Amino acid sequence: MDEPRTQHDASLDPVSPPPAPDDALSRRRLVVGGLAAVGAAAVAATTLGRASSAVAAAQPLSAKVVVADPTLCVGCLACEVNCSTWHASVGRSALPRIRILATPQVALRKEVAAYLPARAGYSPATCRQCATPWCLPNCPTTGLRIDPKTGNRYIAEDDCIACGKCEVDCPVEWQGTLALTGEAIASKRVVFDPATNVYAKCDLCIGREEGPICVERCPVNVAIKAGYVKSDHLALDLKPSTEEQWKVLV
Amino acid sequence: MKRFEHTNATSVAEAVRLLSAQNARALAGGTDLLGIMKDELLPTARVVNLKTIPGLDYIREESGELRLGALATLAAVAGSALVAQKAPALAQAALAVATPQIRNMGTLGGNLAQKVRCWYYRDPDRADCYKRGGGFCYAIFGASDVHAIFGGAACFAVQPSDTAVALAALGASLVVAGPAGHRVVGIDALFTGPEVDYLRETSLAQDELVVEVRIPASALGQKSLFLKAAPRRSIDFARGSVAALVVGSPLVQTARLALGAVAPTPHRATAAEAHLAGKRLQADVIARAAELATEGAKPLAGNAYKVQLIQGLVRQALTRLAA
Repeated sequence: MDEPRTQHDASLDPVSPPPAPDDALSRRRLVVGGLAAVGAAAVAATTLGRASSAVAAAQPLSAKVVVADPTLCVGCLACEVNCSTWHASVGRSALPRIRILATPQVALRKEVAAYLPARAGYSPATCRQCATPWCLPNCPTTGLRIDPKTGNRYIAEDDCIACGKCEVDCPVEWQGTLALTGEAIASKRVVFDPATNVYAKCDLCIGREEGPICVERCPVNVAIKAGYVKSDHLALDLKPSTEEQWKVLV
Repeated sequence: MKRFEHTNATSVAEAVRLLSAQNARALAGGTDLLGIMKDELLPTARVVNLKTIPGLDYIREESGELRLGALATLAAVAGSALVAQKAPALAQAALAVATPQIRNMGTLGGNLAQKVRCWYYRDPDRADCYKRGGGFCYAIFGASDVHAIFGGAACFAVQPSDTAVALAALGASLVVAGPAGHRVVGIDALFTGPEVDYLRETSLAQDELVVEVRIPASALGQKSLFLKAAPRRSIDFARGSVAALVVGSPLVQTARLALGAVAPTPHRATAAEAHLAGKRLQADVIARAAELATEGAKPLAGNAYKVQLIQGLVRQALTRLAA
């Protein structure tokens, strides 16, 4: 019989199994302007165990998180396509880390509806760069990392062994219908890529000088910045990640 | 036009070898390629002439299928009694392309492999859009009259080929030659959307070429037709088109309905097809099929008219097939 390679530290085991699919997290509904708030402490206690939640809670906030306003989204999928293409171009997984969900109940803000009245009903959603990074503590390698300068929660894909623990611990889901395919999606926002055998999540395009490509290439953003769509905020924006910001994210 | 090398291939294998050079392009009739080269839409260092390959322009029945060599001209396809009898939608689509002069030179293979007609893509004086290797689409907040109402991802240009739509309805497959030999690919797998690679319209590698189009026995001799709507009765690319294949009468056994110029690939109206199965082609059934054909369309600013246009074309096509 082989000796175990490491001593098992029971204090890092979750105190209870991960949340079941029909719990409060999955009953979130996407409503314009806000979401049902989920208490950080309650999630951590049920998913990670006390020692791991302490590790997670001690991490710095992310300076940036991608924030979407569904009422400005026209479902062009440029964010998904650019995300996929750019990450593949730098040798990372080509899975898009931002997804557009088809959400017919979402209306378009009138400044955008003036141009594209038939293209309401889309909600972009990506990694929330959680203030408490639940994905981090149970990563057995140095795959899941936090950039000390920016707080960016990202996966160094070369070090990822695809164990899936980040996926288990991630508290946010993509649930509904994908705009790209019309098919159902039910997954966490960190996903396994069988093509590269790693997990992929929004990494704020770490290493890209211009920053996240989805924010740069969103055509509604371009229209807002050019002044022909009037809006005091962008369709896809970068905001500091805080507990308060987390609660209102899509 | 920049300098380029012109080479004559005398066999498919030689053409494949010559096409593996950097920026090598296949030249058949050249009715798209020459324009692409003049506007520098694709860098072209070498042109590989396929017209010097003998025996690729046949139209014949073989092994129960209708098989056409990729170098058959559109005029030959349009004028072929065999195609008119066995696969009328293809004959009608070939006749609908462009003008007599272009149909005399343009080939079936070239019609399938052509680049998009999006007016922003084709404008050489404009900064590069996605399909030209840039990072923007002008159509989304611009003039989108000729763009997609289904699909699209970053790029909303439509597949412009008329024969592609007819072949989608006929359930055709294609023989593709490449460095590893020949492969047979279904028409659905030949065309790819921008979510796969917005630089391309087909799954063909640079050193691959279509050598044969095959129409299966299941489609031969069945009722089919192709209708095209365009600003002028000749020369223009489609603003909307419909190809319909109906098997079975008076009750429809199977129907295949392909829509053109409304998506980055030929768009199968599967909900309408399912609705038609088992029914008679009477007015109320046809009207509902037309509605189902455009369900889920998400027009841009300038192309909402395509919804009514397609519904009208579907009604017309099915009504004619019912007669």
